Amino acid sequence: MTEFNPGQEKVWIEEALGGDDQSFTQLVEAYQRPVFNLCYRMLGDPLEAEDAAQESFLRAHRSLHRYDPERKFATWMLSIASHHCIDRLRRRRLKFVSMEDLLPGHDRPHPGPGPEDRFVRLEMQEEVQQMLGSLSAIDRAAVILLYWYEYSYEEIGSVLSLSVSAVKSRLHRARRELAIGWQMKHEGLVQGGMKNGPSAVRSDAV
Amino acid sequence: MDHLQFEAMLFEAKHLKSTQRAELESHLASCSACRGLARSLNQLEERLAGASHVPPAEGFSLRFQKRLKVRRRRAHERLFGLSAILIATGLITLAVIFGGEALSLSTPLVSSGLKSLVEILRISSLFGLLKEFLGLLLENTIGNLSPAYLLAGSVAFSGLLALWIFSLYRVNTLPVRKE
Repeated sequence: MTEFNPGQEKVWIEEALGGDDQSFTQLVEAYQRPVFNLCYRMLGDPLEAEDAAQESFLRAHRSLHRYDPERKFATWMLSIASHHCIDRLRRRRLKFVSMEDLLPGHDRPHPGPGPEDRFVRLEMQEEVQQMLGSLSAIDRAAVILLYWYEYSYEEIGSVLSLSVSAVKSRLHRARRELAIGWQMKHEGLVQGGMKNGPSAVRSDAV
Repeated sequence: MDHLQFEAMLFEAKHLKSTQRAELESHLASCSACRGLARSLNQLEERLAGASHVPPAEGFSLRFQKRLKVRRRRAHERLFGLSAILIATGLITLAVIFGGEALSLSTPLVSSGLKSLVEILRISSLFGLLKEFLGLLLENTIGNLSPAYLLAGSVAFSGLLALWIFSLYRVNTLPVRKE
């Protein structure tokens, strides 16, 4: 992730706290890319990501007096953006779950051709977004912070307000889910218990 | 065979000790299911690592500045609206407390009100002040009002006071813009 001269960053923060909007804009310039990327990876839509990133910066501007200078500004900023995106995903989920979805045996209409044809057309970004989309909001944020920002478990915990053990457990579950999804998609592996990973295979099967 | 233990090792491969790593490798050599999962995990991580940071569209910070201006204007409008509501509520509350007599705003009433204020200022202790204030209020203006009216008036006035303090706090915490 982009790193900036901490001295310069501190000056911008102090000036912004004094009411200088231009200095806060410098911070926006500096962090727009990581914040937008996080929002895009979380929400999967560039327009919504733009809106979420803008809103995150507005929230940061409003709460700048609560920023602890001992903490890295990037971590604080990504924490605001992550929580905002998690809230959006939760609201989206509430909005889109209809009674039809809740009925047993109901399958949503497929938006395009079959999985194999579609895979051929999918670009890398789309595939990545699709995989991330299968995870819960908090698990998704943890995976994004691990792979795109190379954050440690402690840093992820700090951003998402989780304990280190909770981060480990969420990441384990998310990566396992992603790996099994990948396996099923690329190797067409749905043999017996393999749908649920090797641990679901009975002992006598090996 | 307990795959769960090796699965856990797979996801923590970077943090394994050499003995654990050897144990995992030995298991992978004999277990096709775990080997398949390990391969998928590697491919997946390569794909994720290869996915770049997506930048926002040009002019992000300019759009931010515009939003900030709009948000600030709305905050001031809200504050203005809140102040107007507070003033209106205050007037209504006073009208309720003073009853029908106050609506005519007769001179004797205003004069007795001013006298009451002077009396209040003369009283030093907080409890005495409250007692005297209520006493003067009852004596001069609202002696003929029912207790329900008085209670409603007191509650409304307390709410008003709380809102006023909150609005002062909001005004003071709003960021000041440098020109």
